[in-house]
Amino acid sequence: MPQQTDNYVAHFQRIDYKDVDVLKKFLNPHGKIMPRRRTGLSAANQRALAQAVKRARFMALLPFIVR
Amino acid sequence: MAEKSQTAEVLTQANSEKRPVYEVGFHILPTVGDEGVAGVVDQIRSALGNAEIISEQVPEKKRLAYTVERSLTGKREKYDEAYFGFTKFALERESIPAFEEALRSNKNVLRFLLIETVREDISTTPRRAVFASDRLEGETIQKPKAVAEEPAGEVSEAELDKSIDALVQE
Repeated sequence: MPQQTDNYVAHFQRIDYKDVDVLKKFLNPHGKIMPRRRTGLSAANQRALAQAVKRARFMALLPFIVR
Repeated sequence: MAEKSQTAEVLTQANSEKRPVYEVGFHILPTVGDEGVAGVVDQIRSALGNAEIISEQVPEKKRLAYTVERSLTGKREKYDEAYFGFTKFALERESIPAFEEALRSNKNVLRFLLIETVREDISTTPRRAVFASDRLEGETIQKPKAVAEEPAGEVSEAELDKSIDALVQE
């Protein structure tokens, strides 16, 4: 599974804040970013993911919290 | 003179390739309506000045993930939807603050996000997944085809006895 998700991200080459559907796969039901042990991403991709999610939240494309 | 202008052209071309690439994503107020969106996009483009526009997305109406509030002229405004679009461009670093100021002062822009990025379009040209082994590259692993078994020939009892005897003797 971990190998798979990293390939999945490599497929997209770069994680973009506008790809909301991709980002949603890495959020838990509360809208929190999943930890690395759950996402299986490389350290660099996990950082890129966190950056992208935060940008998407600011642009109101993703929620900050889901209650 | 002509030579000079030519060299100047070459220089500007070289500069345009060196210029950093940015992407601005923005929300346009829903109150401008479908017709007004193009006008606001034109304002944003004119604020870019001599920037080289690499790609653009026409703003489309989106429901926001949360209610965005802002207070202009002492009145609080709430928005649940907006027109979201983005523009990718190359521009000198020195011109960026002026561009940001222009966007900030544009009342029809609810919110914007300016980021530095790369020239290549990343969303439309997916890179192949990289595999550790060349063997897997570009090929899906096929299930080995079942080899049709040869129908077992009829064996007479005498023959069977013979072969059993041979085994026993050994």
